[in-house]
Amino acid sequence: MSIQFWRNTLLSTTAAMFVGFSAPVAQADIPDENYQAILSHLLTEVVPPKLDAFHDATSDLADTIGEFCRDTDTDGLKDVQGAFHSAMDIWQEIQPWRMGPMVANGRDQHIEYWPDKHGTAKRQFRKLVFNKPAVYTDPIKLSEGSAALQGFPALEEVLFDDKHAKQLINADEDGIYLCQYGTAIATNLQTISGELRDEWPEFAQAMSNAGPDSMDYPTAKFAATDLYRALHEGLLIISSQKLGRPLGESEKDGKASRAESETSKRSLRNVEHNLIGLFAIYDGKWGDVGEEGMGLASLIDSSLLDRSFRLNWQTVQDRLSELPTSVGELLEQPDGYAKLSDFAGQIDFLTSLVENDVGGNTKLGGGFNSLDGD
Amino acid sequence: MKITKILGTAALVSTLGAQAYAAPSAKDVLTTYADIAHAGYEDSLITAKKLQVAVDALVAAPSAETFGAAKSAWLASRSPYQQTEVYRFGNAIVDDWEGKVNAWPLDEGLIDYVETGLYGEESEENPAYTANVIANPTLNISGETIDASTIDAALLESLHEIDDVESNVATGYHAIEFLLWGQDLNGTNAGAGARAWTDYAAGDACTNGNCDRRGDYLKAATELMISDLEWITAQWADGGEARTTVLEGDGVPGLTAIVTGMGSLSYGELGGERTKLGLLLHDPEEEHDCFSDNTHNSHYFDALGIQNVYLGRYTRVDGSVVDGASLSDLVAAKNAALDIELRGKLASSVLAGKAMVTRAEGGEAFDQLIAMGNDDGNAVVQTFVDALVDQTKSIEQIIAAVGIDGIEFEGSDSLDNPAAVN
Amino acid sequence: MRHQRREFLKLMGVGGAFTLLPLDIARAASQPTIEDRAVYIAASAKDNAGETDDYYVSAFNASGRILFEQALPGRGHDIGLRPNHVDVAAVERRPGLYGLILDRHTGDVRAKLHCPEDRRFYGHAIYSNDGRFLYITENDFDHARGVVSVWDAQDGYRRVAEFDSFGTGPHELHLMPGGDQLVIANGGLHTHPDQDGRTPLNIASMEPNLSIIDRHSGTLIHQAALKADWHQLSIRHLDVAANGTIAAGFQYQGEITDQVPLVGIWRPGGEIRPIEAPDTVQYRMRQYCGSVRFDASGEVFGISCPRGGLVTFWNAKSNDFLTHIAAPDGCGLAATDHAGEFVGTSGLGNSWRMDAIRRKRVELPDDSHKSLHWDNHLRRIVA
Repeated sequence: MSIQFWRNTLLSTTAAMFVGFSAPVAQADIPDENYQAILSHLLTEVVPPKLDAFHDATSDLADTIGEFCRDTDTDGLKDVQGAFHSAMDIWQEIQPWRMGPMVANGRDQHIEYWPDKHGTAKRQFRKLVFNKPAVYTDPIKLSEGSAALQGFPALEEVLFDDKHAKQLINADEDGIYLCQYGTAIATNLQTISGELRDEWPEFAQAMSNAGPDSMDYPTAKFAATDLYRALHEGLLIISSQKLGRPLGESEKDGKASRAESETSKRSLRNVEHNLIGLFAIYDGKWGDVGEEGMGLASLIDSSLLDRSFRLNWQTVQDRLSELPTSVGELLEQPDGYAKLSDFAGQIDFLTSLVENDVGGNTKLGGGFNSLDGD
Repeated sequence: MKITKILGTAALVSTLGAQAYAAPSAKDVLTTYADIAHAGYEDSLITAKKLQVAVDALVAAPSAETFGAAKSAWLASRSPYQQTEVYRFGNAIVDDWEGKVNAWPLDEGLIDYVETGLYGEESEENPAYTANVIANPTLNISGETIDASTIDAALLESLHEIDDVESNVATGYHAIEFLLWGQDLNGTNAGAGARAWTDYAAGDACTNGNCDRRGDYLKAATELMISDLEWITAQWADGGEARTTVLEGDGVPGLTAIVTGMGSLSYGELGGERTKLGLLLHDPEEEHDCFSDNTHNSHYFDALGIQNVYLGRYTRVDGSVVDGASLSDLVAAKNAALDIELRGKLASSVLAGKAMVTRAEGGEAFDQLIAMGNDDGNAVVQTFVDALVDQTKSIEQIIAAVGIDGIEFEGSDSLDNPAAVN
Repeated sequence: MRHQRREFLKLMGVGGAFTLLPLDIARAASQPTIEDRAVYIAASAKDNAGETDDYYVSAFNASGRILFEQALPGRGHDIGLRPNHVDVAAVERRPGLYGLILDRHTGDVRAKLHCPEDRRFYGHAIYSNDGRFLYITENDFDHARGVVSVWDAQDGYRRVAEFDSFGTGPHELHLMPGGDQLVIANGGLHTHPDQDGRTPLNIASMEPNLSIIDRHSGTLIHQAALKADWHQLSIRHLDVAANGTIAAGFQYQGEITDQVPLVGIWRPGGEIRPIEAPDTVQYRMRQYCGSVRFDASGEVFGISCPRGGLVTFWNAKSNDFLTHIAAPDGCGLAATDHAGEFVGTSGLGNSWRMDAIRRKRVELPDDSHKSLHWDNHLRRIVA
């Protein structure tokens, strides 16, 4: 219903340009060089500076919390929380690039274990604070422990939960342990983001050097499919998990606690940054790096279609900027559930544009078997 | 010394030689299998009745002594029971029944008071997470009111897996274990749950409230467990359904049941299921956390049970031995090398299990062994797990070796007889 | 603990490095060759200028040259091969209504099967070893129940019996070694022709399983399911090695990001053992497996992942992941007579020889096969 609504209110050119699932026969094939250019631009020019920025942000987070723990006070905690938000912002932009070193050895899960269907993180965290094992204050040992206890959600619990924040400042027995544990998490995140940055170039090289001899990426088009999928799946994850989990089955079932990063009241701010990282795949420009039009957009030969896609994306971002930064705050508003549900509908509409317009015109949307198999 | 050794070897060779020519019948092997099952469940029942005597004594006259005696009786009752775990997989009748007596893990807040700092106050998945039957004569679970003023076997049965939540375990060994030990609040440090005997004391001496209702619960759970064990023992007696089922037909279903039980327990329950998610979250080992710190024994007796059914030999709690024609004999007749290999591997896993027990008896229980940072302890557990996985590979070869496939896949008269498919 | 974790990973075949096969197998694998006289046969489709595609059964030889194309009334799926006979059975994919019996050398139609009104075909069929009976998985949609129908090839393909599949949504089925039992992948998904016959209606409550039945009496002999947490893994495709080991591929109905295994090995009598690839490969499988096929040795099996454009290879003896080879939109898989070697086809019109031991992929030389979208499954006939 929401999709329908948005389809009608947003630019109708998209509907006119509608291209079906099966690649249009009449259109000429796109030369592999064109795909190669996108891969090379996105993977070797655009992503690396962002991975540097992520590493810098986690390093700053580790420094700030280390400093805070030497002399705990309210202002210090605010600084740490600020550093947490900065690191989380950049992470949420990188997160949708689910490929290669991002997923190797469960890395993305170690950085942020979410969603947590069985409440494992809460259970393990409670047990941890109760028992206060010393090994979890050692970043190296911590990195070998449960993924649910070593990334952003665990650090968020330390820094933003009211009770824990008080304990940190009071530096009581629990507070001292939490400070050491939080420092270990930040240091661990710094290490992981460094590994990610270091491993990326080799992967980017392999993707960019697609060719018949590669058993991983026989054509640049095939490699570029992974970028298209990241864009597509990133939107699906926002809709079905980041918004879908708190929305539940119905208004009665809606629950903010099922949202991501709700303890730090930034579940919708995460979506905002997800959208930035996702749009970079399409546009080729990501904040201050890259170049406009050098992403998947370069394959779309209709300027009308390109313009309409950009406008639609912008409309969704604008809508999001009018909402509070967290699902919890939104759901407290009288029509909050409807607003959230409507916003999820807009994301679904973007997904359909990606499938039809981007997938169709870049010819990356999938083939005979991958789109409709048994 | 030397002479003995030589004689020993010679004896071994001749035994193997003899086996190669005299394979026991499948029926004889399965009879031993059923005999061991019956003895194992009967031993479980006998020791559970001793537990009942101790529980009655505790409730009648609570003291540190009667409380300690009840805990000892519970520990003793676990040894024979764990050796029957190998019957669970492969025998549907056991698997269907097992949840009543041995379900794990449990949300213990359903039963009694808990330390919420560790346990939490609610669960999104379980509305009865902190129902606390002992403290509440009236329960309200998912909008339904339940009269819990009288704690008896019928009430516990009605609460078991209430709301279809598997962790609502109201009955069985682990419910009783929790009532005797309480939560283990020591984390990965030494020590089990530290419930005091005064949780059962009368009048003002009663700690944590509702001591009489706690006693009622303990008695009801024990009584229920005895009736469940009586039932399963009867199923393995002459004419019992479990025995009849394994002895049915040409022996194929029975032999399959033995192999399935051995393989599934070796791999799935202890050695296996280390999927990516499990590795990522260090589950389930970290969650497998017994109130009594007796996990090492549970695992050891599981491994011993696997060896029992293969060798066709079980030592009862009274020291007498049940033995007879074995799967080992059957395998040896078809493939002596496989039999020797598997015997060796089973011995290794039992030995590795014993090493865990030794560590635990030296004060380092299972949850400490698996604790992060305890590389030494981790290695002890890893050796045990490796041994189990290793033996699984040989167990899987039994099917081919004893020709379970052969029997099953042999052509039958109905082949291409059109009448048979109508 | 890090060491321990690595041990676990190695144990479960997720260690990252490729496991090498025993030397004898490696030696037995050969260079791709076009000399063999094999014929490959599969359902296919052709673009029809914006209209619905045209559907065929097509065959090509070892060099990739098309031998025949036989038009089908609707989209096919898998092909059943009648042993020692010219017949092959092409059954319409779900919700299928027709089955055509074709001459494997010419594509000529030799018989037609009609699905009963209250049943729909799933697209998979298998013959008994003596060639007398054809078994087809069907949907008894009014009762949300899977069945296996039995057709007598010696009596004009008369439908002579129907067995319970012991699950919902039965899909691929195979004979077990010895030929007296059928193993069926009950995918667990309920579909109904009134709701397009393809949309799953029971994702929240699906219960897939693998079942082995006696093909003469329909009696259930073995059954295994995955643990409850994984009930949304639809067990859809399988193959059976000569020693009775069953390899199965799953299609996950849950979230993209859930960490679930997609491949299982089942030795009847035990439990289904899930195996996973290293993370960097596992995520590229995109929660979806297409075809499952054992190689000539029975030690290696391939599992195609069309959504990820990969074919993954696994060692059935050690339960380890072996390697992967990219194959854009690749799905059809058939074993050649060389250990570790397969022929794969794609919906984009490609056909390759793939060597799982040397990790090589060679395109078949003749271009005539490129005019077609090759459908999900591929079969090899030795001419």
